[in-house]
Amino acid sequence: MKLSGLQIFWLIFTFETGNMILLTIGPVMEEAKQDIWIAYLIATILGVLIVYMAAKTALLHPKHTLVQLSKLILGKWLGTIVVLIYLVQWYSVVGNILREFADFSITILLPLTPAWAFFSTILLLLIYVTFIGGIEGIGRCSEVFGPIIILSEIILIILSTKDFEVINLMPIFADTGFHQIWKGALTPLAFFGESVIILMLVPFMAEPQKAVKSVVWGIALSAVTVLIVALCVVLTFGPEISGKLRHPSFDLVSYISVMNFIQNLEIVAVLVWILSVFIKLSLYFFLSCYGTAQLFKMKDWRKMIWIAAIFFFALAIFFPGQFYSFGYMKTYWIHYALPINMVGIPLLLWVVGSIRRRFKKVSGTI
Amino acid sequence: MKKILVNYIGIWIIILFLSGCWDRKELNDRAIWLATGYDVAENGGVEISGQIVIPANVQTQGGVGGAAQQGYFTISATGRNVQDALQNMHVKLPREAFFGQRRVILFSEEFARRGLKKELDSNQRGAEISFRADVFVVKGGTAKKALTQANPLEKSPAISALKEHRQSGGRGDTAYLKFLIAANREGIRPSIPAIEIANSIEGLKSGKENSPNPKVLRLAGVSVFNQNLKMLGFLNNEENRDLLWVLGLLKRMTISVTQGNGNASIQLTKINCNVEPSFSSNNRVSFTVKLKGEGALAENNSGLDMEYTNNLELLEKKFEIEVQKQVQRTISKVQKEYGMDIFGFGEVLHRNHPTKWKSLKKNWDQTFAKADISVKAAIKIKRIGMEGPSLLFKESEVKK
Repeated sequence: MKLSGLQIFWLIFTFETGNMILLTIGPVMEEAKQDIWIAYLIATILGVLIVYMAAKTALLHPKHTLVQLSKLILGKWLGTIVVLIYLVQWYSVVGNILREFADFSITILLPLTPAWAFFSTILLLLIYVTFIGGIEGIGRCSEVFGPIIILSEIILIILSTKDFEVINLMPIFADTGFHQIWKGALTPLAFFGESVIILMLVPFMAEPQKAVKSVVWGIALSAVTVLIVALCVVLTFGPEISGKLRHPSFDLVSYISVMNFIQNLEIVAVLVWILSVFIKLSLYFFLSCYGTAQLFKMKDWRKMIWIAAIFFFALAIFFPGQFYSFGYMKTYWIHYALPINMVGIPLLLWVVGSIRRRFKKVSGTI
Repeated sequence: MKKILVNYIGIWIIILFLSGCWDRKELNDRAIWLATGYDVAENGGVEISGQIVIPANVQTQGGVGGAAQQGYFTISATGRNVQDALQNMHVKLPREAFFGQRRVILFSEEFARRGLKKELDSNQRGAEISFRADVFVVKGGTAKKALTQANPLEKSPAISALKEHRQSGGRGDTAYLKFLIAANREGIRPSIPAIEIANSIEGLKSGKENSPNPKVLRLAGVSVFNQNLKMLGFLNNEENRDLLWVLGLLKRMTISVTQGNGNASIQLTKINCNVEPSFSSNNRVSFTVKLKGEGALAENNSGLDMEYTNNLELLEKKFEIEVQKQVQRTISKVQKEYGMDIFGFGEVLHRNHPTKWKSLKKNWDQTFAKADISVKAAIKIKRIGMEGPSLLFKESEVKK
């Protein structure tokens, strides 16, 4: 299983973009109002810093995944605790995304289909791609999906320019203030921060030294795409309405009407989202299986797929409804996962790892 | 052998999932809903009427021809709210209503006066309905009656209203979103275009359908709403154009003035407006509305030879004075009669003086009613058409 630098780039881009566009714009708009672009800029800069740090950490031991690396750097017990913290995040987020996928599809497309039908179809797909392809299969998928996503987004953005009203962006900064913008920026930052999974991906790369460049560019392209879509939303609907909508980007697409015949393009938005969510789910699915197998030193990580699939199915079924899943994002994700999993631990690993390496070098030369 | 078995089972699983579609909806099980009308029901609830396409009668090009049959019918039901009424409607509607093509919303005047705040949620909650819709208040009539007035040129009344709206240079199908945005903001009060049932030929009694003088829907200006989304009254078509100009939504407009013994008209195509707020020493707010328009001279019955610059300037001045007077009159009328800032002056303040706005917004309706608003216009004649003076004037009558 080997990934190229280009695959990492598209993998990170696809992994981030779809869910960011669909889920973050509403909550951010609620806080940052017409200054949403400032919030996204802040999140972008900090997000790039986070993944830069994570990629640098991963390069301390480019042959080892996060599971081995944390034990190498922090010792056996502390390392295991760190891995467990990440496993909680990965396992719970798969349940959450599965639930969101089903809820959204039921609301938008198939109102009478039961949720378990969505869970089982997508899980079968996930099992297929991870079992047959592993991380390489996911990487290749994203290499195909990524360009489709960026192309569809460009087309949708161009088609929606007709309805822009620049005055929707005014007044800048006066209605919100730094505190509110910062609160708004936390949501996208918590999504950008998910890219610390690069800690798990570097060992699969054919040329690990390309990791930093690929992952930073992947995040940057994703951030620019999301920022532009958020701008389109606020320029078309204004901040008041978009803040109340659950999926303002979806409404933006359904609002497109060019020359009275290019209409009802919602399905393109749904396609973009499903492609992206598939990559996101399969990556987390793979990480959960592979990480658990490595933690328990299982010989064949593929055996974990079956256990995990059943677990995820049950988790998605019992995952509490929509209101709670928003609470999951607003509380666990922002208050725990962001500071601990995305900032704290990578920083700790980086600092301790670098010190150890220098110490080793110094002691080695003497 | 094992591999074949696995593949075999796999294919069966795939077939099971591909065909097992809970939510398949055939087109001939769905009723395509073009327009919704809201009326006050007798029991105090809401009466929903829908305009539904009759697919067999909607022919595109070619086809059998012959006498054109009606492409729509209208259906209505009452209920506590919209969804309740729809449920009551389905007992006489054999197909499931599909709202993805809904383009027009009509409110009866009575319904609009009762207030819209607690009535419209289901328009946005459903996923298949777009924000892109045209919206009207039916002046002096009911929505269900308006939905039966077919225009002979169009397949359905709803579409004819929408096209008339677009043709007259108004908000068109962005009207509903504009209404929602205004309802959410503090510096602007909502206004909804109005429509009424009229005769095709003014002043003559109208005949039945298919007669040369049928009843048609006519745009009837705009309705003014307050903050609680209750309708207060109407402005006529001219005043509506002034409103749209100040809002920056006007696309085209014709201005006519008297000049000497005759008259002249300009067709403006490039129109915009800039509102500048200012504060006097005692913190009283005042606004200067700067209107700009460019266009082509469309009619000149005044004997002026338009190939001379001084004549052009003379006419431009006339147009400017006319526009200034007209818009000023409309703004004062709204200030006096309704005291509702449908022009969005408050939003201008909000954008330009956000800190002062925070204290002003509490009593904005009163402040707006007393504010000094002056209008300035700049009209440019960019083209004069195919003749200098009018061809009906003798050489001696032409003024150079």
